[in-house]
Amino acid sequence: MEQYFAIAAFGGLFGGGGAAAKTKAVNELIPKLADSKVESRYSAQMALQDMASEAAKPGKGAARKALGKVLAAKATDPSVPQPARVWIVRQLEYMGGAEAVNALTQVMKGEDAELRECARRALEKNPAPAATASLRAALEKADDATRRIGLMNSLGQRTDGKSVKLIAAGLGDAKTAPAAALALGNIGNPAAVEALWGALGKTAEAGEALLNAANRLQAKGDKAGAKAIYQRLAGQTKSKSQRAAAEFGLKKSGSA
Amino acid sequence: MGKKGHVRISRRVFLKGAAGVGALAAFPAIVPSTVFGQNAPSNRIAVGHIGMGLMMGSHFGKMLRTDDVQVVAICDIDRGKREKAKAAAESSYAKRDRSGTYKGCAAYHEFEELLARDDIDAVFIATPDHWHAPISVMAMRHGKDVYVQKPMTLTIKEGRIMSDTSRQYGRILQVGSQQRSERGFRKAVQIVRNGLIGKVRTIYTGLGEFPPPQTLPEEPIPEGFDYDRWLGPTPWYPYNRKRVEGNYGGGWRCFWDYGARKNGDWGAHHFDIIQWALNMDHSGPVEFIPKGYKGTEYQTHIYADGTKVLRNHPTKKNFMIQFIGDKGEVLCSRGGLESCQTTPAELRDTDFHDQETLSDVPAGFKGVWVYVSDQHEENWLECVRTRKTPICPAEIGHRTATICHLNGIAERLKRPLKWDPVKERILGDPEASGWMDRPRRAPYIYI
Repeated sequence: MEQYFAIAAFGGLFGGGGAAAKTKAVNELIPKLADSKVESRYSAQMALQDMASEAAKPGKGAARKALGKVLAAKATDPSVPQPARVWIVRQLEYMGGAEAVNALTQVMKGEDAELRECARRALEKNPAPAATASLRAALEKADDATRRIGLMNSLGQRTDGKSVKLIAAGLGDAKTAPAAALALGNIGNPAAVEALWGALGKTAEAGEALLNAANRLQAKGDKAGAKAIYQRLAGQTKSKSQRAAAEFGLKKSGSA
Repeated sequence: MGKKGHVRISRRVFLKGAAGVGALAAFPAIVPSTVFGQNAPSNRIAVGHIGMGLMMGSHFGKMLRTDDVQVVAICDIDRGKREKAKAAAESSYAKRDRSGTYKGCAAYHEFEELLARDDIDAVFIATPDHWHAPISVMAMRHGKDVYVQKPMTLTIKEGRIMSDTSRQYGRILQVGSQQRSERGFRKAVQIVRNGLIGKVRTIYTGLGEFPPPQTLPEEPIPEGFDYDRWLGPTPWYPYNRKRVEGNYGGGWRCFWDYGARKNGDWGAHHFDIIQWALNMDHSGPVEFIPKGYKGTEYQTHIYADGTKVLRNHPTKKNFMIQFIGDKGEVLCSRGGLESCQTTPAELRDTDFHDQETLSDVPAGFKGVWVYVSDQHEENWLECVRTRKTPICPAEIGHRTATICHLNGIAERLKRPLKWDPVKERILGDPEASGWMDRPRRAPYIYI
């Protein structure tokens, strides 16, 4: 444990430091992050995690961006061993911003499934709008069902209205339909709701997603919009529990 | 359970059938007590158990011994555990069946199949924490009532979803923070809530420590163990036995990926009792300070009125929780009424009619009368039957788990957090806010 504090202190990172100092400190950690003795990687992982947390402290925008750039460069550097890249991309999930989007996009296109998944997670959390575009572009090209499910979910979490058509296409595939429905429910705009009505009765999750969409409208104050969905769902769903949930929603939106 | 040798059918199946019969014929004036008696099929609750590891043991045994419960299905991703549990259930029922045999407990690898069964009323969920929310939410959407182990969730967002789902779908959800159903803790809560030790300023509680998580080398995945599904929505790591084992000293509980470490494991018990005693079940603290921050000796969370909860500060006589008020103190631990002690000592003799039920509040009692449950699973079963709210419903479980998670996030980030318990938001810290939920690994997307 003491070891990583020494490394970090040597790199001058906890107080900020320039890009060169950050790069130097990260470079020193990389061999340890990929130590052939797996048990020995832990202290280096914690050192990098602490650097990322420190840089992402409130009010330290410049330090966060500087470290983000360094980590983004390492994430795409083929000379960095895979276990180190995995941990680096994980830190970008927690603190990466716009500066990391291009690198994460590149990683997500790579052959390594673990890294690809880490990059998707990082883009899902990334606050930059460009991250949404990156995930959307990836979904356009993805043909594997598991990858599509992950990407649909990420876009749903980001409530990306521009993805509705792409995600709705997933309603036609039994493997991806549940995830597509849940993502559309999270987006919950009129186009998403329309797609979900088309899936009601075919995909069990469509009803749940419609409830989610209605609940979101209700929370935003659009009681009339919510009520319309609850009412139609209560009349159309064949699921007893969905009907009960829709009726509960109707009561809540009663004054609309 | 019905009389020996009777065919076992569940309440749900019975009622479905009865409704059909009722449409065809007038109801008989006299019906046998075995049809509508306490243990008749009309009252028997059909239960499924999901996650047959360490924590399920006592629930499973208790349900098998409960007369008006029928365990109709079990589920585990470990073939060995699955087969053992099925055999145990069938053997238990066979001993009470005239024929001496019983084959009526289905075993599932995937919980989705168990939840899809219309004849199951309720489920116990005792998986690792990262599966609690996905399974609970899906169960409630399928119309099942739920008993879920503590801590209720892996993330704060999951808790909000679970609580809202429980309310919207009208499902009974009990969180397994069973200390609420222990008389010693209840007594302590009653004393605090009734102001007998004055204004509480400070609370000490011991959660212990786990060893740090480890980076572990890859090992072969054992035959019959579905490791990918064990990981579920959490990030992929190579298999190692130490990562997945369930034990009280570590195992998966050590890893951030599957919970909030000790803050989740024991915080879900002790922070829960503290919330109850402070009458904060629908709110929570406003600040979380990790151990080590600017010399902070003990991890601390603080309520809006300044009340502080210090983790691992020594308590008198090693009691689990010590409430310190202006006029006295209360100590409480597990082990019944004797495990509640007070200063001054006579406070403990305050008569709250502990043995009585909630409906038996003595006439003229002016104080605070807290929810009375003396057995956590029985309280849940009673609520499944009566649709009454259980002692630890989803909203309470969510609020307690939120404290566990926020302490965990502060510990991980090594900095204090400010929390708005009304809007349920971390204030002024985008990175920390990102931890309110976690991305999920495909294809394990359920919420």
